[in-house]
Amino acid sequence: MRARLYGDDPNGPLGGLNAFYLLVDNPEVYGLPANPQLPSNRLQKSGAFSVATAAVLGVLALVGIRKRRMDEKEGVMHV
Amino acid sequence: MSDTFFTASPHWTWFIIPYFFVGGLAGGAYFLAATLEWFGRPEDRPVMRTAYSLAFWGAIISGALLTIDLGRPLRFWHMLFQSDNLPHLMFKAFSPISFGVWAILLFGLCAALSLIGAWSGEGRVRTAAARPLRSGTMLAKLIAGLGGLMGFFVAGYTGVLLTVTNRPIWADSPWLGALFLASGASTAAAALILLAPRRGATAGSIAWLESFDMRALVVELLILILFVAWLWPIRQVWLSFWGLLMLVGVIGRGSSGH
Repeated sequence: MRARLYGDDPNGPLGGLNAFYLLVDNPEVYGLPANPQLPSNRLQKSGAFSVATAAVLGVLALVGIRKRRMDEKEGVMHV
Repeated sequence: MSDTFFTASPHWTWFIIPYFFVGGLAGGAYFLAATLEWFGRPEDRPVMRTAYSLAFWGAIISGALLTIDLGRPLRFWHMLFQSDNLPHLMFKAFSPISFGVWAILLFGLCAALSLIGAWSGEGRVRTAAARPLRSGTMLAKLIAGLGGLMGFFVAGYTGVLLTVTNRPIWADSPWLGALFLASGASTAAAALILLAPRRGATAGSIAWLESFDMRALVVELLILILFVAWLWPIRQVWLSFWGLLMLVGVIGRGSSGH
C-alpha cells in the first residue's frame, strides 16, 4: 500500500482543502471519502429534471382538457 | 464508494416529513386548479374551489410545520424582514431556505386570494372588493398562473433540496425533485376525486381528474424506476431494514392502490 497525500490537489473535486493529510492507507480506512463532491453541484441536474417533469405534467393536464373537448364535440355530432 | 456515506444525519425530523406530503399535495392541488382556471369551464368550479381550499390549508399547515421545526417559531419573521433595517425585506439569492420561505409565502398568498375569489363566486363572501378575484376574471387567471408556478416550486424544491444534502440515496439520484413533483400532482388529483364530489363537482370534471391522475401515476412510476436505477452504484443500501421497508412499502402501496 502506497502512502498518499489527501486534500492537497488543487485540481481535485473541491479545489484542495487548504490542508492536507498524509495517509498510509486508502482514504476510506480513515473515514474520508475517496472522491468527495460539492453537494451544490447536484443542483443543476436535479433542478432541470424537476422542471422537465413539471412541463410534462402540465402538458398531460392540457391533453386531458383537449380530449374532453374533442369527445364532447363528437358526442354532439352523433346526437 | 459514494461520498454520501461519509456525511452526518440531518437535524430535522418529524415536523418536516409531513410537510413534504402536505406541501406536495397543496402545490399539486393548486396546479390543477390553475389549469382549470385557464382552460376549464364554469362547470369545473366546484373542483377549483376544493383545490383552492386544499392549497390554502396546505400552505398554512406547511408554514406552521416549518416554523415549529425552527425551534424558536416566533423568530420566523427574521427570514422575511431584515430585523435591524426594517422594513427592508430579507432575501438571499444564494440560500435555498430563503427561496423556499418566499415561495411558500407567495404560494400561500395566491391560494388565499384564489380561495376568497372562489368564496365570492359561491356567495360565501359578499364584499364587492372580492369580486375581481372571482373565477373567470383576468386577475384570477394571473393569480392562478403565478400560484400554479409557485405550487410546482413548493412541491418540487423539497426533493431537490434533499438531493443537494449529500446524504445517501437522496444525493445519489437526481430524480428526487421530479419524483416529489409527480407524486404531489397525482396525490392532489386523487384527493380532489375523493373530496370534490361533496362540493358539487360534475362528472365531467371528475373524469378529467381521473384521466390526469392515471397519466400522472404513469409518469410517477417511470420516475420511480429511473430513481431506483440511478442508485445502482450504491445497491448495497437495499440490504438493510430501511431498504426492506421501502421495498415492502412501494409494493404494498402499488398493489393496494388499484
